[in-house]
Amino acid sequence: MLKKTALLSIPLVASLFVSCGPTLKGVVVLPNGTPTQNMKLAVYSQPPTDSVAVKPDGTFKISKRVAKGQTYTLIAEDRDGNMGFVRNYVVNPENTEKIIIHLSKEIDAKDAVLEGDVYIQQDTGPGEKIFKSSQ
Amino acid sequence: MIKKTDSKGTGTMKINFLQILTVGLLSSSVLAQQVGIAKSKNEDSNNKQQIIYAELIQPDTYNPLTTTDNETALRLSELIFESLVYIDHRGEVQGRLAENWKVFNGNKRIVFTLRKGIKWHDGTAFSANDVKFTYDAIMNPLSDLPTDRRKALEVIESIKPLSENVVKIDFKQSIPEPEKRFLFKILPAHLFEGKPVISKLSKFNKLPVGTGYYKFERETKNKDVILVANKDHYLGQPRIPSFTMRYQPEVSLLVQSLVLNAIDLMIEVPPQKITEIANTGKFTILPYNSLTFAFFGYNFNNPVLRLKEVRLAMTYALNRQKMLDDIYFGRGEVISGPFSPASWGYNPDVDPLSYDLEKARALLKKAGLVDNNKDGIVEYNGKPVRLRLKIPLYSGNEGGLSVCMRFQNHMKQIGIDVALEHREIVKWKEEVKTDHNFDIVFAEWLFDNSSNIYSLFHSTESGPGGDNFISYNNPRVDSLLSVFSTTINQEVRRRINYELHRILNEDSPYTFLWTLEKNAAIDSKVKKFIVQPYRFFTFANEWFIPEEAR
Repeated sequence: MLKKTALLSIPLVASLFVSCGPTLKGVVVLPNGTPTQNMKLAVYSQPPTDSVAVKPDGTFKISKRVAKGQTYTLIAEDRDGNMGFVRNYVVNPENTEKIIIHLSKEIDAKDAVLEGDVYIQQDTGPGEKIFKSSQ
Repeated sequence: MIKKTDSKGTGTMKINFLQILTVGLLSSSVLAQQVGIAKSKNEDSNNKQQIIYAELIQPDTYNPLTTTDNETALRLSELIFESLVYIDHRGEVQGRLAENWKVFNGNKRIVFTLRKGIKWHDGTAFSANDVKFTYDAIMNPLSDLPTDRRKALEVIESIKPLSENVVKIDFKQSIPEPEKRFLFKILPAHLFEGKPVISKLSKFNKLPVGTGYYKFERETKNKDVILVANKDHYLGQPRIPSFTMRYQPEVSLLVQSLVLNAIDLMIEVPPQKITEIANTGKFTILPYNSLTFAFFGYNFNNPVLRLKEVRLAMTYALNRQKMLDDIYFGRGEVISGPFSPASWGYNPDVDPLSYDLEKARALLKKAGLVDNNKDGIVEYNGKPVRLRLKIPLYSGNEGGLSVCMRFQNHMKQIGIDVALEHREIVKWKEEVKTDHNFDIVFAEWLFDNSSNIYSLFHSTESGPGGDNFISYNNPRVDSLLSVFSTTINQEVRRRINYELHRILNEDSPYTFLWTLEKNAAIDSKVKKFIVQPYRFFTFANEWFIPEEAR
């Protein structure tokens, strides 16, 4: 039974594969507009994709779990809680615009509830679920 | 998309999800007298170190393995019990009871090394035998637990303790990231007298003993559950000394209890209450991505609902965005398939079917549903189309009731008569999941990160108690689900879910409604309030109340 399923799945699996997926690329800049240099920064997104470290020249690239057509908010954050945002970035082939995230000290994130951590949704095998009434 | 009510409470604006709501102050003494709950706040206020949280439903058991479709029990078990591994803030698998592990033979074997020196809450040493016992108990057909739990471990060939703290597991096949199969909670073998059988009648289910952050102390007469910090926990004593779970079935009283600080934490704030709670200025309101979706499910045992055109017509006849805006203040997102938009399985290329009454009517006509006698109800094979929609009845379900009444009205517009049948919640679940005694059901699925919809739509899962209670049967979907459950390639799994999403949107076994934004509210004195969207309390050992705020 399993063998049959596996055999049937070969063309299906092949058809499901696509080439390189979409990415989120850009640069994190200081409030004065210049790229950050040698700063310890993380960039992550909402909905969650991946959390990556910003390179010494201020650039970043997220390639895991990025979905075409999805609208993202990108967040850059340093260890002191200084943050920057880009909202409503839509991933599509036409959108070649580089993402520029301005760090801002206007938002005090020292008490931010996640304190720099973002919960990333990820596959966990067979998983669990609950059937419930909807309120 | 995450929104919050603006500071005046007059509308919504988009925010970053890290922002918290802090606005205004509300005098609450009058309300306090009305509900008589301010006293407990005063008693606690001198040395505020515990957290009291409330749940709308009681746990069905305190045993993490026998619980079925019960969020309260799931959350409580996260405080008391532990698994070999867990998923951390960043989605990485980390050891809990396991210190480390190694994978061999092309993902067909995993060897866990367990942490040494762990003790059960009763002082007995934890060992590899407890892991084997738990596995044996789950797989024992005499054990009374959900079949899903057993199914997840069917890939295991054997499990063998190699020493007190090393356990070897062999699989029947290669398993992608096999460590993720060990997220289930471990039970203490010594409290089951060595017999690997889990019964719903077991004394353990009332007096749980785990290895987790908190020890079960007692259940009060009012069904409150008192937990105290496990001082011997290997990660150190949790920073909050005590948790109390308060059973409060009345949602309005629950909100008032929170506003008056009689409780400190509300796990799911009703959308219509967010502004009220935020305006007190006393709470951190945390939006979190719970992987849920709401739906109307159609029973395929009803010949009318077996017609694809009819199901599609019912979806086209619903103005879902307006329902979401009117009933839930737009705090959510209309969906097009069986995943939350925050899930990796959600296909963003599939748009929700539009609201189109003319299209709905045309589809019904195409399926042979016509109002020949002009009484406002369409007929099929000479009989008027009358359907029963089952709704659970309990306090706090006002939103759900409004959705169902809107549904009834929308269906009337296309000539389908829908009768609302109210049931007490346990009865409702039994009639839907066990007896399949319904035509339409309004419900919600809540997922962990797995985005595995196999049991919801695979034709083999349609027996009594199965998750495919609508008796859906689509060979193409079955085939995709079978591949999903056997492939080890995550990218293939994602593509399969995208394809399933597209097919199910077009076939409409459910009318996919929306994913609602979830918000937790907690006393703003509590810091490092990190939650796990499914189990909630995974990181509760890190929560704390600064000394100056107590």
